[in-house]
Amino acid sequence: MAAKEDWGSRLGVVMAVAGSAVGLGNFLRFPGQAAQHGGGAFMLPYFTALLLLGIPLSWAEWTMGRYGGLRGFNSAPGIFATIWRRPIAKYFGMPALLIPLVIYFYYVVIEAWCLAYAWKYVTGELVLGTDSAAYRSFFDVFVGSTNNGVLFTLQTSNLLLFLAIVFALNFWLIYRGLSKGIEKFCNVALPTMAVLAVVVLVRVFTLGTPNATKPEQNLVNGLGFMWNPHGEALWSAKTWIAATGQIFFSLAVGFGIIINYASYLKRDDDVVLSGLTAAATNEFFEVCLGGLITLPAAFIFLGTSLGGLGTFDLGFNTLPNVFAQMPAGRWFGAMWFFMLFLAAITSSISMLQPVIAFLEEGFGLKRHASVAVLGFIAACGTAFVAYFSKKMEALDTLDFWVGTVCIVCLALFQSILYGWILGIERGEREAHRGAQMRIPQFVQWILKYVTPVYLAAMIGAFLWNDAPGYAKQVIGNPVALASVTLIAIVAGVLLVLIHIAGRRWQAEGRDPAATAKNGGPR
Amino acid sequence: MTAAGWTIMLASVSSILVWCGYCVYRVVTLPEKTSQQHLHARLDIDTGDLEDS
Repeated sequence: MAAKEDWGSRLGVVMAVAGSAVGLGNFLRFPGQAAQHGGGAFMLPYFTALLLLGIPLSWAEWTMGRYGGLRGFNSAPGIFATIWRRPIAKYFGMPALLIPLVIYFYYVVIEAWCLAYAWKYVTGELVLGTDSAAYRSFFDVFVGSTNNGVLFTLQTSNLLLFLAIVFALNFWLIYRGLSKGIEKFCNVALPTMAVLAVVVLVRVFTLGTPNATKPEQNLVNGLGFMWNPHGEALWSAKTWIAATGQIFFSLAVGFGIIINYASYLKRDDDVVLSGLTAAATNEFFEVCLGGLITLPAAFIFLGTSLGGLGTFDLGFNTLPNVFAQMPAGRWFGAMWFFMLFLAAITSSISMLQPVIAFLEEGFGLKRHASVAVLGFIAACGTAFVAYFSKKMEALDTLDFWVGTVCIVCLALFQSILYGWILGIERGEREAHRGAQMRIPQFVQWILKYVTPVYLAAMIGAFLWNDAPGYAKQVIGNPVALASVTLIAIVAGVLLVLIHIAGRRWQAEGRDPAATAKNGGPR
Repeated sequence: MTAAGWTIMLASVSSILVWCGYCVYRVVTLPEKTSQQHLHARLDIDTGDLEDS
C-alpha cells in the first residue's frame, strides 16, 4: 500500500479545515443574510443552528472521517462503507464527491473575480469614481453577464486570464500534497487574511462621519444597520431556514470536505478540540470581521440606499463604490479583494482533495495522474460556467441544486450514518479517543434525534413548497436545464467510478462489506 | 444604534472572541506528538477486526 498522507501538525489540520470553511460567505453572505432577516435578531436562530446543528455535525464528520481513515480509506465512498458495511453504502458517498467538485466548477470563477478585482485596484483600473452604475456596468462586462460565450471572445474582459492563473494555482497546491501544499498554504493564508481584514476593520472604525452633509451616515448607525434587532423576523420560518443555511454553508458541513480532511488524522489525534477550534475560527472571521466590516462600511458612505444585499451585489457592486469614496480606498480595495481571494482559494483547494483521494484509493492512481484526471474534469465544468455567463444562470443553478439542496441531503445522510448506523455510543467512544476535551452527552442525543428530524423537515418542506416551482424554472430555461443535466452527468459518472472502485477493492480484499461477511463487526 | 443592537453585537462578538481565543490557546499549548510515538503506536490501518474497532 502507498505511504499514507498525513497532516504535519495539529494546528495545521485546524488551519486547513478553518481555511476550507472561511470563504466569501463569511464576509459577503453572512452580513447580507443578517440584514435581510432581522438584523441582530438573526443571531438567535444563527447561534441556535450553530449549537444544535453546525458544531454537532462537524464533530460527527471529524469522528467518521478519522474512523474511515484508520481503516485505510480517505474518500467518502470508502469511509461510509467502513461504517455501514453493506455494498450499497459506498454509493451514498457519491454526493460527498459531487458537492465539492461541482461547487469548485463555479467557485474558482468567483475566486478569479476576486484576484482580478485586487489586481485592478492595484493598477487603478477599478477607480471609477462615485457613480454606482459604473461599478455595476464594469462588473457585468467583466464577468460576462451580458451574453453567453462573451468571455471566450477575449474582447471585453480578461477574466479568462485570471481564471487560468487561479485554476493552475489550485492544482499546483493540490499536486504538492496535503502537508506541503494545503497545510503549508493555509498556515500562511489564514493569518494573512486575519491581518488584512483587521486592517480594513480599523479603517472602517476610524471613518467617523466622512460626509459632513449626511451626519446620520456614521459608524454607529452603520453598526446599527447591521445589528439592530427586528424581533418580528423571528416569527418567520424563512429567518430560521436562512440561519440554518448560513451555518451549513459557513462551517462547510455536508460538503464532504471535513470527513476527507479528518481521514488523514492518526489514531489518537484529537478530533473534538480540533473540530471546535476550526468552527470557532470560522465564526471569528464571520461574526467578528464580516459582521463588523461589510455593511457598516457600506452604510457609512451609501446610507440606506446601499442597494442589493445579495453576495455579489454587496461584494462586487456596493463595496467598490464604498472604496472609491474612502481615503486611500484604492489600496484598501486591493487589500480587501486580495483577502477575499485568499479566503476563496483556501476553500477551493479543499474542494479538490476529496476527489483526488477517491481517484487515488479507488484506482491506484499516482498523484500526477489523479491531478491530471481531475484537472480535465474540473476544466470542463469550469469552462461550462464561464461560457454560460449570461446573468450567471449556470452559476446560480449549480449553486442552488448542489451548493444548497445537495448539502442538506448529504448532511441528513451523515447524521443518520453517525446516529443510527455507527451508533452514538460507538461514535462517542470514537470521538473521545485522544480527545483533549469532552463532548457533552446531550450532543449525541441531538445528533441521533434532533439533527436528522430537523434536516428531514427542511428537505420535506422544500419538496412540498418549492421543488415544483424550481423544477418548472429549470424546464423553462435552457441554460438551467443544461446545468442540471451537467450535475446529473457528473453524478452518473461518479456512481460508475465508485462501482468500479468497489470492484477493485473487492479484488484486493479491501472491501469493507466483505470484511463484515467474513466475521468483522458491522 | 439601539441598546438592544449594542447588546447583541457586543455579546456576539465577545463570546466568539473568548471561544476562539480559548480554543486556539488550548491547541497551540498542547505538546505535539513526536513521530517516534507514532512509530510505536498501533498500526494506522485498522483491519476492523479488533475489539475496539
